[in-house]
Amino acid sequence: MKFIKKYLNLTRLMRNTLIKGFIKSLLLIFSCGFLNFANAALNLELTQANDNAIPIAILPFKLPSNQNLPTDIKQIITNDLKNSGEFNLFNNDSLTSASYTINDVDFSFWQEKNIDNVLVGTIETINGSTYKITVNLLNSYGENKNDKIIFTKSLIVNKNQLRHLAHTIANDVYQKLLGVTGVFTTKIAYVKVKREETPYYRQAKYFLQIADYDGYNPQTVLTSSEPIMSPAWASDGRRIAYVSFENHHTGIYISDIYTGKRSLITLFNGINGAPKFSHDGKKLLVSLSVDDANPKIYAIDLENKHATKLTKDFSADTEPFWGANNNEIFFTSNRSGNLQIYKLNLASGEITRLTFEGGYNAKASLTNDNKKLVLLHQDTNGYDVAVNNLETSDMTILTNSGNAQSPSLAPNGKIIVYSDNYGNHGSLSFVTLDGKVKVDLPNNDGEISEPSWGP
Amino acid sequence: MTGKLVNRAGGLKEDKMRKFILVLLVIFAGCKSYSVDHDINSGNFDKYNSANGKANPSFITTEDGFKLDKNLAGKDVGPTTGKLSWRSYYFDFSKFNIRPEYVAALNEHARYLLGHPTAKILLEGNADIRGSREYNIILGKKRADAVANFFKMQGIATNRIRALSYGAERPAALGHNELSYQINRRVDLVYEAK
Repeated sequence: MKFIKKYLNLTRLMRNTLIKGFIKSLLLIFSCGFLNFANAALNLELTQANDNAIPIAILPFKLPSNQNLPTDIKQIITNDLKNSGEFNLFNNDSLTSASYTINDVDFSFWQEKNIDNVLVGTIETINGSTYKITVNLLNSYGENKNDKIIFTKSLIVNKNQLRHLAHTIANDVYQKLLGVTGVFTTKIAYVKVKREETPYYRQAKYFLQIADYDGYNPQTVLTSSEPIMSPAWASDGRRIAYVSFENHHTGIYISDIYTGKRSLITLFNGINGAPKFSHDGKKLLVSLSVDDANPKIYAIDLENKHATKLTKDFSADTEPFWGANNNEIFFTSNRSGNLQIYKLNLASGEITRLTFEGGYNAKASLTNDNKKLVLLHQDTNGYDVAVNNLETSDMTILTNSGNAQSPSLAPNGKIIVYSDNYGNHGSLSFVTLDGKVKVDLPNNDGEISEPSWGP
Repeated sequence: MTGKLVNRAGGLKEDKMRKFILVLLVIFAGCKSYSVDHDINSGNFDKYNSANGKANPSFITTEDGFKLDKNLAGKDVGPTTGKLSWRSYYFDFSKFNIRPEYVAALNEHARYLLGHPTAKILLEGNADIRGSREYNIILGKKRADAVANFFKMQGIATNRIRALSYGAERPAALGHNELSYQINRRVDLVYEAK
């Protein structure tokens, strides 16, 4: 009851604050739709490779004569497959002749080199800005022509769709050879901070951005002179929930990345943090300190804004997320005296401790098989990304940075993005779930943190 | 080269700009920067708080070259004399208890608040960058709450005190070293109303 009353007050407070904040909000520049910052993205750098990778050759494509293609499709496919850590790419430097179709390929040559898979392709100009792309993934050991073709793809696209098309082809190769969906067309949301030293004081600008998984096409969703935190995607791929400190109050907001439409969800006098959508996108789990100094987990129904308190006791609870079925909620809590991950059964109300190794386990997410937790773990090296096996309670540490933060699992469950201090600069890195491959995404444009891998 | 000869108006503007920059330089030269010469373990951060009698020095350069953003410029309307000029209170790693050396200064603020019933304060809690961002928000909140509770115990009404946590999102020092971590584990006291 007390909470409901507070919630009604909140609605009034929100309205007042919104009116008062109207002029102040001039400080906030909304970038509705997509803004493109050309040349802002950088290439991934593979720092640790996998010995058991699948051998593949991606041969130079036949290009339209007398024309420079705006996008290097072959290079994008090569980078995607190489950085996934699942493929061992043939070095084309030793090639003496070109092969663009199945008829050109000398399969005995590839068998001799132990290269099982060969990708060939052609690009033709349809008109000034439209191209026809045809690719064939071939099996060097196929017995006849049909048996040799793993897949064929032929598409006509506009020049500004070429990069996306290249990622789609990489997805197809990944899917055909591994039986798992690739993540090369997915997006990552993150927070970028740019600090400017003025003679008087240091000014910071905070950006909520989304970009292709490889850092290309960064687009700004929100710009603010006050901190932005905790971006989290809805499964529809168009809504992002986040925390904003605008007007010196913390609030949880949801933005639609296509329309720029924005709504305020909570604005309590205290902690409004760690939003996470339910699988169906209809509810938001949050961490709020409403009637207690210690924040608790609440579920907010986004249709009627009704909030239900899910945890009590004297502990601080945060970083909630739903389990595979909607009966379970996972969260971080200090109820044992240090930070550990817990599971709440919503039907029985029973709370179970899940992590036991070390005194600091936080920011967890569940692997796709529901058998492991990816989390942030503190050991003597500092803070690193680790995997906790829920059956054995074994902890496997995946990174050795000591400065790792905010691990977020890709939708295919094979790779984790996290923030690091690579090159003494807030930046993103990737590590595979098995810890075998590590890739850094160098960044020279501000500090990047809190990555959230989109659907 | 040619701009000055051809466009007289432009030349005039340029002169004005030059004068303006000169004035700015004079102002900046007057802003002394301060050096941190204390032992990190002593927890003595008095220099940040009472710099030359000015409550809000624009910035302080630490000995390892970091500029400390006081975050207060133009926002704080509170008293600036003696210990009342102290605005930043530092905390131990993962802790949120007020250090004994700050009690005297906080008592002075409490007396000022009791004597100025319209004065309102904002307590901004902060944490160092390491670990979970969400848990750092909680740590910052607990630190701000610790100072808020100190004032409440002295009889200051709850509606005159606001506690807000920035967690690790608004660091005053940007280094990845013990000194920067210590500087960022703090509560800033901001007078929002006189």
